[in-house]
Amino acid sequence: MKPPYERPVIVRHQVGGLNKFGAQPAIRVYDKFECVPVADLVAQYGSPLVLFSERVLRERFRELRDQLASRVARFTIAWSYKTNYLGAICRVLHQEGAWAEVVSGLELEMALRLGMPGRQIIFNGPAKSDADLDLAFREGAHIHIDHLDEVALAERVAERRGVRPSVGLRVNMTDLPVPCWDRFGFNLENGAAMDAARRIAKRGRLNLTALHVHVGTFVQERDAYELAACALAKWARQLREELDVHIDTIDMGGGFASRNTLQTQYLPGEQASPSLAQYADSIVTGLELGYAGQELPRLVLETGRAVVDDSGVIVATVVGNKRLTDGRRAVVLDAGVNILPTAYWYRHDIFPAQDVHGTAEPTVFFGPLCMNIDVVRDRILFPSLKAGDRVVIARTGAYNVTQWMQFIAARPNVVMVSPTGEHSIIRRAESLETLLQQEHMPAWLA
Amino acid sequence: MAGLTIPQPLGRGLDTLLRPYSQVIFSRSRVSGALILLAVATSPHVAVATLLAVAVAQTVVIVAGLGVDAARDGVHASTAVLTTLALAYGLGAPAPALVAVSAVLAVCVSAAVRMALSGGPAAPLSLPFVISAWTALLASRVLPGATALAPAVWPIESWIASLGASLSWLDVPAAILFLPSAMAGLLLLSAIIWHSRIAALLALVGAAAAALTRIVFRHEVGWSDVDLTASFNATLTSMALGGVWFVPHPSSILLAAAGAMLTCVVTYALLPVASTWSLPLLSLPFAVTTIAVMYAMRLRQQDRSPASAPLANRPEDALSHHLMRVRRFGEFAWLPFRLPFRGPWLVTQGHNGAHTHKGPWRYALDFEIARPDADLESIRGGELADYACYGLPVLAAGSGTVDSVVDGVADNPINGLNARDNWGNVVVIAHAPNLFSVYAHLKPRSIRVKAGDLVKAGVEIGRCGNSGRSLVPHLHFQVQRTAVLGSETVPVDFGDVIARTNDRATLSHRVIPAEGAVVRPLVLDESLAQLLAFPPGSIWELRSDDNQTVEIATVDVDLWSRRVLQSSRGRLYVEPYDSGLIVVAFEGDRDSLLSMIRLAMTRVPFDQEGDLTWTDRVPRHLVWPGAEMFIDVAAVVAPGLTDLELTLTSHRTENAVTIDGDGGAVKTRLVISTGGQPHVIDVQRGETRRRVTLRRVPGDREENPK
Repeated sequence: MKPPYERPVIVRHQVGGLNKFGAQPAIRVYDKFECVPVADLVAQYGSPLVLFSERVLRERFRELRDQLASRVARFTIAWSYKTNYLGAICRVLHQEGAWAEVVSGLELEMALRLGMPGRQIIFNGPAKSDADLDLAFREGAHIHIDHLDEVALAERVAERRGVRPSVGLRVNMTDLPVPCWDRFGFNLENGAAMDAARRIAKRGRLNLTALHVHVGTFVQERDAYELAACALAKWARQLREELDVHIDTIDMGGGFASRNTLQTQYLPGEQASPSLAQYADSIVTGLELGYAGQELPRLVLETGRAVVDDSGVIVATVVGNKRLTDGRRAVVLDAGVNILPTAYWYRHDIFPAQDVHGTAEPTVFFGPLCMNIDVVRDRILFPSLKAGDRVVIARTGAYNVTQWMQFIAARPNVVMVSPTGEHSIIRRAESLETLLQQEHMPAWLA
Repeated sequence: MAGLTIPQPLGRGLDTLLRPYSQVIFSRSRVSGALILLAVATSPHVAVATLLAVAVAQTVVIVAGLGVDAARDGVHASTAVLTTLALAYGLGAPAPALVAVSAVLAVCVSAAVRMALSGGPAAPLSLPFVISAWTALLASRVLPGATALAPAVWPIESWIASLGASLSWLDVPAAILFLPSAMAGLLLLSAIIWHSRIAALLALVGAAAAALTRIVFRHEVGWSDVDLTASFNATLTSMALGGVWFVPHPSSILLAAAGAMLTCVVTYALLPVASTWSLPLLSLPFAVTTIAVMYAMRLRQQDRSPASAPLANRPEDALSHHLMRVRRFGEFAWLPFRLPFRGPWLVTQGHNGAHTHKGPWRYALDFEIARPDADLESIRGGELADYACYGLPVLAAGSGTVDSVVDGVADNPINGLNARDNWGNVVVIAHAPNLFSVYAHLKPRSIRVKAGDLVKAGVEIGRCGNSGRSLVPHLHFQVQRTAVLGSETVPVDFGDVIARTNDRATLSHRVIPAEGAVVRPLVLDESLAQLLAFPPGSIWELRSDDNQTVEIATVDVDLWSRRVLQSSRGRLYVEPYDSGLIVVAFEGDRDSLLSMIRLAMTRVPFDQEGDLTWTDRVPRHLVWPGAEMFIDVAAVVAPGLTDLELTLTSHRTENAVTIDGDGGAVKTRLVISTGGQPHVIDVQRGETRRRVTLRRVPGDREENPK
């Protein structure tokens, strides 16, 4: 066969050719997604295309479950809806036994509509309305209270419904090696949490059974979990002694880092992010320290990102190439921050979806938006691409399909591939019709 | 008896009257009792005397405070009936006063002997009867002469005799009642056959064994009273050993035959002794032989072939209970050990392993954790903490008492070896005599128990470490015969072991994990456990899908802490087990809605896994009714006939856990609603399909305070 033609380029010599770990990484061709050729999927569903692997999703969930199961007798994993609330994704995780963790009335209704019983829904979030709480109490969902006004509102709603629901308190802590998220919940150190617990216990309208802390997001400092778990456990024992409040559930929230690499991070995510085993170890060690030999309560985790991130990829097509004034090669893709908002935070891995040739050179990937900020990856060593070639952007499962925006371009198809290679749309691409359907022309403009 | 319902008070009265008769053949059947009463009635005056004895005895039982249940059970009054029969045999027609006094005596002796033997391996059998009968007979000699009533003969007997049939072999069953009447023998035989076909078979075996013994020892002399006594005693021994005290099995029939032959020899031995005082031997040879055999069998190392029978009304029931238990839960216990850790671990050395599990230690197991991203061999090296199992909890495999603890042995570095402290930090737990579990190579100062502590299955005893003869962190587990470390190991099953192959997790109830297998114990799903808890006092409604039939079941707890779901048409027994629902038995109408739970809800593991596969066994008669009479007896030699294996597969959705059962002839589906809807049970047998919904009656506790 005749070798393909390679365009000659002059590349400036750079020190970056070698990094401290050795030679530059070999370029892996990502031409199949779960044994289905990427080209076939794009031919059928269009480009850009959001893909999810059911197998990876289940495996990652089971790994988390196994890690907890190895350490504690009683635990529940709740699926954080805001991370990815596509019905098919939620269903896969509910099939694996995950509860639902929702943070708004809308998400609560989503979970209920999927068929989740209220008893298996945890309702967090700083802004629950009277109607939200009414629905939650009717369905028996577990609410975690964020502030004192919510305590009062929950008491009123419970009184109105004639129920005494089990509730949790969300707590924040200052003494952790991570930024303090004191905008959520009651502070433990300054006594605000104890005041709230005292009020709840005294009024007796609500049954305080759970404590919840969420130390942050993409937390790579796992000591934070150990310290938070220990503090929460100690406080649970204090509540029992001082207020005769029996805490049955400790909810350590989520915030586990996925294997993506943050923009500001030197080491790649695979090496920098703690493993699920390490997170589980920190949490259980903290609880055991805090409970000092007493039987542990039920542990709840609300993991989102660490479970789903690896299971999703975005396939994009090269629209065109150009050379920037500083000599970098620029590639324009048909997918940008409109459907990949996590590109602001992560240096996503990008792989070619077909055989590549030629020298890898520093490349910047831009999205399709007519906006300067639409950068998918600002610098990556990449071989040359031509218009129509495809790239796969890896680890895009978390937050993208919930935070994506309808801006300039319409949202594309979302497809799930099963372990046996079956594939199907799980969310249809939007079109002009989708947008116009929501619009209304006032009579005076008609 | 299907179709015939007798009101409860009347039934109790009938039991009180008829069980004293049926107990003669170890039966509680009313029909058998009535048939025996009829057999006695071939001599009407004897029947009247026995009825008097029953009346007196039952009155004494109740007045003396032995309890209404004892009266209903009829054991004490049965002694009185037999004593009266012996008096009639010895005296012709005993005076009513003598009958009454003997009845009182019989109850006293019966209760006393029962008390004396309680807790031992043997039952009193006919011992109280022989004592009270002999006492009465000896006493009668100084009492005024008995009123002689002419023994009446039923006309039907002469009619049968006129047929020319040789009915002399019916003397043997008749002799059990000490009645010289073929008709009585025939009726007693019918009572045995009605009660149990296996018992009838055993009676036949006993009689045959007696005939054989006679051929061996006494073939040259004519048939005499000795042979009759030997034969009926042998028949009783055979029935008692082969079907009442041991589970019917070819081995129990062999034991029955041997016991029967032994009984004959005992008869030959005792007859001259009894004759010295001119006393009839009655059923003494049977009692002596059977009690001796029962004591002797207790010394066996393993209770099997034949196995001791569970409490049951009939040999058939004992057999089906035993088979169901053994085939579902194994021979040793219904619940075997649990895996001594949480989460999935890899068996790195199994039984008869290549490294150290040899000789007396061949039944040991080594466990480690395989990391998802690295195969085990590639990480031999590095730090202790690189090994995923290092520091993870080690749990008690079963309930018991901590026998000994060694702590304070330092962990070896990777690939280090401490041959001086072979076991490292180790815990030994005593579960039963001759059953000790050992957990070795634990992390120093991680052991949470001390010698003498009572531990429950699943409590944490320490952490996995690398102490003693251990190159890399792992758990060495073995079960051994004595408390001495390193004594001979025994193989044990584990219960509720889950292994994953490809995309399917399989649960095994009794399994010895093989080398290379990744196994985990159940991961408790508390929601599921809560849904199927069947709390005592709760009330459940079963409703057929055509709304034609509704059954209300209330939940109670029995002596063995089993929960009992009781409806007007049956009882369902649920084992007290935290990690799953296990229905152990169903009694009652097989067409009832309750019986469908036994089929479709037979076992539900409370595991968090989405899709899980396991197997279980359900009684065949609930699937294919009709042939019980045949199957019950055939099960003695073909245990597989009594049950059907179901392959069960669970699937989880947002608001339900669906469990499909496939047993070939029967297909079941159970939909457990997690969202507060009624649970739905489908059972399909051939062309017939039934559906029933199961829901808890709201507010049951308040409405029906217990």
